[in-house]
Amino acid sequence: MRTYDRGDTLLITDISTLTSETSRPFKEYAHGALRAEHKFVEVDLSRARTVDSEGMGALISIHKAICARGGRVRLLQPAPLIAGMFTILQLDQLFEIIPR
Amino acid sequence: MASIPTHFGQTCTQELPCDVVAASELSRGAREFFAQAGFTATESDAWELALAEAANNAVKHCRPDARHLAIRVDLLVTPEWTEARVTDHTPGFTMPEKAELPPPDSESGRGLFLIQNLTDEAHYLRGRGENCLVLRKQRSPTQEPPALPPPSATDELREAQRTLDLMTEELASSYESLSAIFRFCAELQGSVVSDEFIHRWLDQLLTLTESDWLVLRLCDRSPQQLRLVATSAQAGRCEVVCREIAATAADSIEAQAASQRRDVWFDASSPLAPKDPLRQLGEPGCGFARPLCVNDTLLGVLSIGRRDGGRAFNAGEVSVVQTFGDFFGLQIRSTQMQEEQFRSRLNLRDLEIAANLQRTLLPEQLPSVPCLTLAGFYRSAREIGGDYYEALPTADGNVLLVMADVMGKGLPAALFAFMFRSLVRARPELASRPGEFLAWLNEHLFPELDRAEMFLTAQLAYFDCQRGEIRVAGAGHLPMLVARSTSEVQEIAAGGPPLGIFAAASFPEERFLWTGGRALMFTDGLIEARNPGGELLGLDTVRAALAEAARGDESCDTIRHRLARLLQEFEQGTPPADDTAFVVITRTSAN
Repeated sequence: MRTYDRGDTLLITDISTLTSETSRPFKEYAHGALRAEHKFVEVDLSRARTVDSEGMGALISIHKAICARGGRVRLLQPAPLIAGMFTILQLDQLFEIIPR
Repeated sequence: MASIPTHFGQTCTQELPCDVVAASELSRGAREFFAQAGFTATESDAWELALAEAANNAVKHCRPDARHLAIRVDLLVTPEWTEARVTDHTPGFTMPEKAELPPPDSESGRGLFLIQNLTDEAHYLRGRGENCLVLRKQRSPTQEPPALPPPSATDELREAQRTLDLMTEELASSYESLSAIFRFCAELQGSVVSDEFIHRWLDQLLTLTESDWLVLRLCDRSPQQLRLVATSAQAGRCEVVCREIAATAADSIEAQAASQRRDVWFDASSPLAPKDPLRQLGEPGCGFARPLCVNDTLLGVLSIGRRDGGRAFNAGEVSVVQTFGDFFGLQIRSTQMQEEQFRSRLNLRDLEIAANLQRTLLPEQLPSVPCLTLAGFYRSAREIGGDYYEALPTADGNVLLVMADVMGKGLPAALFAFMFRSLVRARPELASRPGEFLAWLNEHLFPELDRAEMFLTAQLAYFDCQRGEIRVAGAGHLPMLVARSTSEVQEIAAGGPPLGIFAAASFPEERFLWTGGRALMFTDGLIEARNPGGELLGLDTVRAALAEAARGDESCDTIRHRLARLLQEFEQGTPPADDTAFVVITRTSAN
């Protein structure tokens, strides 16, 4: 997992899974990388094969943190199954999903 | 994960330790298995996610005392469908028909929703020591599994046997319970549940689940009491189980199951309370109590168990008990409804009979009597009552007027009124001595009235036309009103006790000369009529009406209409609570 600081945007990349095993380190890593100037968080899911409900919980945690400062989370290029799950779970109301 | 092809599909079994890392490895391993079995990437991804959710739940909710036990996953792939079974050691939960989503900003609570959306079927079988989540999904018809490396013959045999055992266990339990239920349904064919049916049903359940004992209690009128209906007929132990228990008793798992509407388990680690009635079975060992409910209505509790040393119930056996319990609950409810319908039909028939009796009690027309003119009025309330009046001419040209009111309504009241009329007609020679007549009637009615805890009030008035004399005797009845002149209305009470109160009673007689005017005999329905405000019509109003009628020299019919109109105008449509009967009497000639 890597982060890139791009002014008001924090970009998180190189995510292979967001599951019960990885969601907690991901959440801690992302929260730790957040700076006061960040208004947007972009999570690159193009390489993520699995995002389970725990992983979704981690993303919601980041969403709440960034929302508190008037920002938004964008999910970049998730696999169709993952994008579909976000839609079924009505999480597309929270996240801006940028399709492949 | 090793993949084992069999003659009907490919299977894979994995046992993992209870931690999230192992759960993730499991779902990744399962993905590889599915890929080898020819699944598309999307299909494999979906199964990986579903199994990840299932394994996460098994790990997160594992009982603290079972963390050392492995979580087992069995996968089975056939050309048509895929099945996964995840056996956990959690306290278990009730699988909702359709899981609901939590609020969007909630960070948890989406696992079941995901599982249900990723599979075609999701069932959760609950057992005492373990539970099993069964997931199934149809396969795409276009997929062809690729050739797999040949497994060793030993592996193949072992895995095939394991899969066969799994399928046999489920099929056997499903088949046995379904076939038994169908058989019982065919036997019942709409008839009510009999004791014989219950006992055969219990025997069947004991055999199917290899249980040692079974206790069935049903709610007895009130859901607060559970009455013993049957136990397993083993070693005569059924005789010692409590006949009745309170559904709220804290020291009984049957009562807990009833009050909490959920299965309550016991075993060596959570034994029965010292005072639990099931302890009377000897050494209850392990088992559970299941409430029998239909639409949240508690019907009873079924308890089943094995004696000490017996193994714990597995998920399949629990499922059989639950299925039988639910089926039996439906049968009990169906029987109750049939009985309610039968009682309802009986009540209707009862009312029909009572109405017919009531009609035969009242004279179609009061007889012509030389010295009197009579006009009768009768109005029934919603239910059939026991009001009765009659005019019986005597052989010497006089007449006995009878007015009676049986306490209560329905068939019993009508029957007693009928009995009273028969007795009155049996002794016409007593007509001229109404007090003595009432004493005789009381003597003959007392045993039956006393047994039925009923009584009746009556008034007898003998009109001696030759002498212009009236002899009146009453048994707890309202007074007779006599308008002797245009301004005076006299009450003739002549009171003794109601009939049926004392085995032997005397009834004073009042005699007076009546040369003219109007008289009225009536039941309490007349003066106890109510208006919409709940006020009573009252005796004074009736007296005033009779006095006014006498002043106007009104005829019998006119007075009857006056009183009927008075009732109608006073009540203003208020339904009468009681029957109303009255007879207006005028003297037409003096001898």
